[in-house]
Amino acid sequence: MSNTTSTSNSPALQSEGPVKRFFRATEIDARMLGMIAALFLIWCAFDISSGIWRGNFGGLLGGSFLTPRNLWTLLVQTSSIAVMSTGMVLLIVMRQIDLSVGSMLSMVAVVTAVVQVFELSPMLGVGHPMIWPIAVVCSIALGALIGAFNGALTAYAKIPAFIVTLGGLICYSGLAFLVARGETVAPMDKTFEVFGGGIPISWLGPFWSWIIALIVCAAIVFAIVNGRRQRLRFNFPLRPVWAEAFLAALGSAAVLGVTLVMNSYPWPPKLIENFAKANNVIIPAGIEDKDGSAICMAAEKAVRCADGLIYYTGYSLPVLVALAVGLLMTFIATRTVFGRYVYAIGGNPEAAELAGINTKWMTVKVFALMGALVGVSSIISSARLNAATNALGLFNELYVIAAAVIGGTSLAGGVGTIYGAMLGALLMQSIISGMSLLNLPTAYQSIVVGVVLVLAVWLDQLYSRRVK
Amino acid sequence: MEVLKEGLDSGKIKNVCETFTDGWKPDNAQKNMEQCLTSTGNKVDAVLSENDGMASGVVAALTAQGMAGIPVGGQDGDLAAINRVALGTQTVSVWKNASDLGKVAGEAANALADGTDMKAIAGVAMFNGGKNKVEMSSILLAPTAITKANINVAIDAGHITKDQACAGVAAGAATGC
Repeated sequence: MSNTTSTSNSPALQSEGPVKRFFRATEIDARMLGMIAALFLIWCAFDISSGIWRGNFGGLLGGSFLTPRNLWTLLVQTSSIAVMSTGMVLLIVMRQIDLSVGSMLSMVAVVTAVVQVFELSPMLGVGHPMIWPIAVVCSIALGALIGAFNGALTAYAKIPAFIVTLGGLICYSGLAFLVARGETVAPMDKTFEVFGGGIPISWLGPFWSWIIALIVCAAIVFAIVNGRRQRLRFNFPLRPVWAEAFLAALGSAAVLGVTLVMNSYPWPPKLIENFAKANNVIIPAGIEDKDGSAICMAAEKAVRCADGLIYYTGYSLPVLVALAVGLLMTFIATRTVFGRYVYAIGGNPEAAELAGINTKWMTVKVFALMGALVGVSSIISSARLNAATNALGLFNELYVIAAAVIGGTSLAGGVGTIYGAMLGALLMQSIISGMSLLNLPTAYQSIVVGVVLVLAVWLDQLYSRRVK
Repeated sequence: MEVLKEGLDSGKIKNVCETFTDGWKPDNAQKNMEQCLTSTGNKVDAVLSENDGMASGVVAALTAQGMAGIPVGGQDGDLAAINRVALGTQTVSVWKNASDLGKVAGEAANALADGTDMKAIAGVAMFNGGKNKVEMSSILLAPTAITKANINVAIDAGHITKDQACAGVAAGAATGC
């Protein structure tokens, strides 16, 4: 085997145009790039139209969509679906499906809420530091258990996953109703509410947000350097050095950019006021600034001023949880034996079984993983609403599956990425939030999301055919 | 809306956001409310919610902006909503006492079964306030507006326990707590 040091040395690639060479050298997925471009296009369109119809609130293009506030809210709104979509990718890759995630979320949320509000709070006292860990463990364990049950029925009883989880969809929503007799269980414990991102203690603040961003940037550089070393070790073709540097710069710029946006969303004025009152912080009198560079308080009125009391939110906990889940799941899918098995089974189940993979046990494990992720999502949604009802999360499975599919997961199995699904979830929530910003009726939102889903798959197929 | 019509027509009240919530779901109501607040720069003075479940989403969105406490109206007399009314994050929940409804409906059914004429049943009046103005015999019960001043009504009727209604409420902050 010849020692290939760079892909561009290969004679077959010399004839390629610069664009094609760029994609091959950096190994960037053109499909993902297309999706990101679509996402930015949609954001710009919403910013312009919201500026025309709803007024200028400091958006990049004169609207209210491309503001730190809206983008910050958008990420929080996406987090629950994004977490579940990472699990759905693995299931669909393995040629399975889970239609029951929405009902499962309702049930897990209601059970956890009942445990928390009716059992733990009276027993331990409201606000006891042990309440949230117990509730979190309860959610994730219950989710994993139900998921494993779905998986066992699929793998060992040989009932198609579509039927098992369709039954689950109907059954779990009934159970969710029974557990609390259809009542809304509220409010959640203050220690648990942190996971919803609706209260100041669930916001990281600029300092820690920057620290995390820097750690992630360092990790990106490390991953690229380490990847290069591994490729050298096994005589794999290497990316040219400029491509490696470009990827490191691009990744770091993305992380720092998102962090910058998160860090420029100030606390709502009323919350600053309340906080200042509670902590005896003196609010400087507001001097109005024409540029409106900051928000501060003048007596009762919130004004924009040059140097007032101002706090920035930074990352909120649900978004961090979603990002961490995304990273962890990417690692599992691409760097572990477990992940390789999932893709192997998806590519060809019979071959995988003949190769010695215990496909049945794998099915149970992937369904259980999906369930555990539903548990995580149920924590985020119920903490965010500060209540749990049997309506919470109902029909979320439609959005979770749509996110995975928009993100390029093939229902034929074997193909799909975690980041794609998370981007898909973000794209879908962008459309819903943007239309809601324009005060368009929900019916239109559903129509547009449905059309986008079909369109995305069609474009994807056109692209794949052209590449082949 | 009938009550608000005059104010809306004269321009005293401005309807800044109005939307149907997909599936009457609280989490969708929360997202809609968040987007409404973003698109108006928090210039919202009051919210009318068609039911208490969606009101819970509305209150969650308002709380995140530190705006909990502005007038929020809901309906159904949900237990969680009555607690919010006592806490002051929701202003009113329109409660239709299901026991009263059941009692009157049962009595009417009994009377009809005994052969009483429809129009002769106690309390029956003609109602034609529907969309198509169809005239029909009906017994109209007055709904109860649960506010901070009459939490005790729901407690006394056995609809909710005092512990549930007054969880986290300072003693005396609401009537009945």
